[in-house]
Amino acid sequence: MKKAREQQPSLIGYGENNWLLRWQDEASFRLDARRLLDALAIFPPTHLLEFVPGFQTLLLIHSQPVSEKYIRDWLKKALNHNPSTSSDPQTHVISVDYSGEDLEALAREKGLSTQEIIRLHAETSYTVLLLGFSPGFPYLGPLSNILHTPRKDSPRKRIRPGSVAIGGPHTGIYTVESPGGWHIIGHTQERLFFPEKMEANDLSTNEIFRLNPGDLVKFEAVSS
Amino acid sequence: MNVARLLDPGLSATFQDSGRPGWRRFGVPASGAMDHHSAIWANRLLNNPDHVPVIEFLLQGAEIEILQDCWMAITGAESNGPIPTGTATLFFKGDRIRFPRNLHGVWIYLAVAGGWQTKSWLGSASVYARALMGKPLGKEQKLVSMPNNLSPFPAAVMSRRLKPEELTKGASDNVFFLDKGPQFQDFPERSQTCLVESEWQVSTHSDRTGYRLEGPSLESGPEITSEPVLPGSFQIPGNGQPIVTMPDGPTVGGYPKIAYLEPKQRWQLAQCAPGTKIKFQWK
Repeated sequence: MKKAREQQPSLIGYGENNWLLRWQDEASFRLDARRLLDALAIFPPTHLLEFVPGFQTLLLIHSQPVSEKYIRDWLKKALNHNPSTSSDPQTHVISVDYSGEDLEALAREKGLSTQEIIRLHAETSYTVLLLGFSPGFPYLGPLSNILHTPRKDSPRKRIRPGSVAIGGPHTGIYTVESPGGWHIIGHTQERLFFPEKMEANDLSTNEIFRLNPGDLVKFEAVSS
Repeated sequence: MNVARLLDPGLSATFQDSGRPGWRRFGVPASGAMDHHSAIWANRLLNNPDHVPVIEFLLQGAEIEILQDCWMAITGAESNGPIPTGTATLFFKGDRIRFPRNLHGVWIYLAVAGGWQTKSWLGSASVYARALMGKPLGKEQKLVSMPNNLSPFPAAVMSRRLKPEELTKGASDNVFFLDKGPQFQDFPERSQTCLVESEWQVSTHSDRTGYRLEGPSLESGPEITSEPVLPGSFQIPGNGQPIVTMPDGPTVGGYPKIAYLEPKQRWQLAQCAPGTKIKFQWK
């Protein structure tokens, strides 16, 4: 008999139609994430209205009640299925002009040179852990521990789209003009959100949002 | 057809419909009418499909001038204007519809025969300005109905009203029934009890993203890693005053959620004006 998996996510009812799946920690969720996202695309659970990944959670929103047993069985199938190579996560290379408003202050605070901050930020390949805060805003990780920085006490009132920033244990890219408390280290010309495509009759998620949860992102330093 | 002109949007006016499910994983909430029940019945009064866009007015001050004879329906909050809520009426060119002040309720819905002609974003007309999906309606805005808005009724039908049971019940005793939220177990027992034993008041700091409640301070559970949030969730921030997430609320959040209010109850809560006293019971 096959040994049971060490860490099954817990299933938490969230209203009568929805299930919140929570893993022990972020690492155990990341181990399962690709299988799950692939399974959701190929054989979504019955009556699924939408799904929302978190850092160590997955919310399944259904249009009508679905039993816990059904979800457990689906989960088992999803975690045992092998994702096809054609659904390998996409890698996006984003060019960044590392001359953000907060770069020098951040370097001073860390006792590093701006060059070292840039190197640490650009040498990692990041995973899109979730999209939230504003449309298409990616929470990227894992960020080098040295760069973890609590959010600013008083957020900026206006941050322009394309700002590359650090907030807590994550890095991200602002997609629309908004207030925000993250530390801005650079800017990119590349767009992650194409609002002009939102009025189309034939909606393709990839044309509106460049990034999907689970995609990979690499930053490339360019000079202005 | 250009059937009317918005002389004054009042405190706020937006197009809303049944919302845009499916986009939360990209950071876009579903939006849609705050009181979905009333929005649907505005359409039903005119034999429109349920999901076509209606205009959602906040509280008071709106005024509309009719430019062409047409059928419109008003549901939701009761204003002290001439037309009672839950009514469809044939309006004539030159008529004015005013919503001077609400007697009770918060959100008023205005539907037109055939539905309003609007843009849509991600398959829905619901305005969500933060994500560049339209803007609130402004002064002098033209209000256009879908072409061929045939009269839904034969000549000589002048008005139609909802039965009382079809109106949003403002939860007359203002008691709402709660499901446990995902972090219910993490809250101390006294918080679980205090939520249902206390009287709460809807705060003036309430909008389409969330309704804040004022009352005793609930001892919060531990902070959590940000996770997906649904409308109707009772998030408890550090100050212990619940925030009930509404349709424009964020898709993820880091406050623990002690309770969850199912949609029908949430639509009723949405109609509770700031200052309304409310109570809760666990289901």
